[in-house]
Amino acid sequence: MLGVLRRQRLNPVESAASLTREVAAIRRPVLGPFALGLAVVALTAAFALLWGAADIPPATVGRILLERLGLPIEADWPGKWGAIVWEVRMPRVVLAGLVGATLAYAGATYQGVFRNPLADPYLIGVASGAGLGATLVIISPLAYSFGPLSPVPAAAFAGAIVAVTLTYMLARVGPLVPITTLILAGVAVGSIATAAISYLMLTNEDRALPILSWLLGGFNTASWERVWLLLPYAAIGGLLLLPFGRTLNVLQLNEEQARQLGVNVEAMKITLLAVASLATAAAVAVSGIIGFVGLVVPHAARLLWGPDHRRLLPLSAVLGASFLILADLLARSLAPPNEIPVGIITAFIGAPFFLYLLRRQRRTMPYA
Amino acid sequence: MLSVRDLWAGYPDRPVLRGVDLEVASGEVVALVGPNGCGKTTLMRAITGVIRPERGEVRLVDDDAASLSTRERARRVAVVPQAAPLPAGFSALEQVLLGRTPYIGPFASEGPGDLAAARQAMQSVDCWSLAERPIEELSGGERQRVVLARALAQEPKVLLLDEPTAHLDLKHQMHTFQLAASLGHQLGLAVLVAAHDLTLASLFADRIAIMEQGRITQVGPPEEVLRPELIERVYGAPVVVLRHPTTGRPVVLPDPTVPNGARQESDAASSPSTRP
Repeated sequence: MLGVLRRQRLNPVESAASLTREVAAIRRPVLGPFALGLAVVALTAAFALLWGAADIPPATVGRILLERLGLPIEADWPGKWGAIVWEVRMPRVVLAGLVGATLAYAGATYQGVFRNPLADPYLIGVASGAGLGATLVIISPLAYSFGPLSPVPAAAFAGAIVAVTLTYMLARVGPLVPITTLILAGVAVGSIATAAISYLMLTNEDRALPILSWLLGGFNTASWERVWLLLPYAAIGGLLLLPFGRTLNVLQLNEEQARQLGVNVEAMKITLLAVASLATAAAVAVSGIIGFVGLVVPHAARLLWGPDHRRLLPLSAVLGASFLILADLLARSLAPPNEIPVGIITAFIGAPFFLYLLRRQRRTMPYA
Repeated sequence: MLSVRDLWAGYPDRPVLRGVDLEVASGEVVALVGPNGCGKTTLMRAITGVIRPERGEVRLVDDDAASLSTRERARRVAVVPQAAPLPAGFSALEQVLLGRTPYIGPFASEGPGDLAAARQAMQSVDCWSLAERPIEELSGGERQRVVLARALAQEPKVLLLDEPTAHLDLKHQMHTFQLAASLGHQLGLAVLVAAHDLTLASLFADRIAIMEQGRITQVGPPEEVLRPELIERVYGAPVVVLRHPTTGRPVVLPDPTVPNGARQESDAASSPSTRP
């Protein structure tokens, strides 16, 4: 039996060939599914651009877009159509896609760091914390000093960081962050933030309407300005998190094992949570509080492509973009001419899914 | 290779280790035994740096462990933890590749060299055939070998096993101890195994270290350490010690004919403490 220990020396040529094959096997490719995901995003975006109250022929929508992108096309359509396609529908679709991608990759990161499949920017109180931070700025005179940089995202970020820190500290039981305490702590922190927002609205009646319309969340006020506000945070957040895929995989072991494998666990956790919260806060600042995207989408991505975070992060992002573009399309077309807040659509899809996960977790995890 | 000197460590409200001294040489297998709660797991945590010692020193391959980075430490010492939770959905090979973490930058991925190391580690504990299988489909014994392969993929100089046979049947208990012994003897690792089964420890370890209340009170070859009066005092249970018929090593058996505690009390009255 001890013979198995003899270190086998492989024929170098043979081993190189078989190792190349095996490397290909373990590095399940990300580019293929990612390209597919981008194609789906393009398809949903195209669909959302064509759909609207104004009846503009698809060919004209396409020509308007090409003309705006600088191609030499003669503008033979009513000027109103150009504005509808380029100033209303396009920023709306782009913003929904960006917010969806951001919330989804942030959700995948939270789930990975907490080793908890129910973590989501909304459920762990980060979104509400960001909302409180933003509300404080909206009621303050600062909100009127719109320069190129708005103070709203910064305040939302501060609120998000405070909320995630509080939730984490409250939920932690020794080295574990169990599901029950995580949800309870998240709900408690979220409730406190929401209560504070309500109080601020009541005591600042003149600003209540902007706060409320912002809180309900949605893209009916989408503009290119908001796209440019979010884009750097969303892109930088995503690019910063992407290389941490393997580290997130190691963190799926418990913290003691991760540390014994040479990972600086606390530093990694703080970095990952800070970046995910920054991106979440920027998304909340431009679109309000939209729940369940960060919960549902990473799960769907995991079911489709497995638990490896190197794939999960980029694939969650493309899936999240499609999901929120589609949810927003439903929000504006289910009950015309009224719009349903998009958060209601995502809650209708996400809440039953959340309950399903909670039940499944209770069966497999004894401490939950 | 592994050297622990006057180590004091524990948890904020509960000191556990009170001056541990222990040496494990390269190519040597030492079994760490002692009653529940005596500090075996805490010692392993202190050696790997999961908890910070209050006093004393851990040396890994001639360097003070406190001066090593988390990464460098993980290249020198690897652990097979007790009942290690493994993330579902990853294959056995992917689990073993996690052992390459101390050699892969925080932002990089595995290369062919890492795959070769993982493959060699899996072959050396005879589980390469499980490579493609999802971890949740494996039996307890197979998982144990995968975790052992992950530790070997770290290419450590010191290997710690924390009660590796806790949930295994007889065959897998034997196999695990045989593997641990041969890793020490054939690959030249310094191996420290925390164990409950004194007989298994006796059959496979070069030396046995007995831990009591946060200190190591006896270290030596099984024939010297496994004396009935000593075992009875440490564990508070009556035992008889026999010779193994084929290996000649001591075998420890519980002795149900002595009322629990009776001989222990008379021993304590008649003979002075065996503590050094």
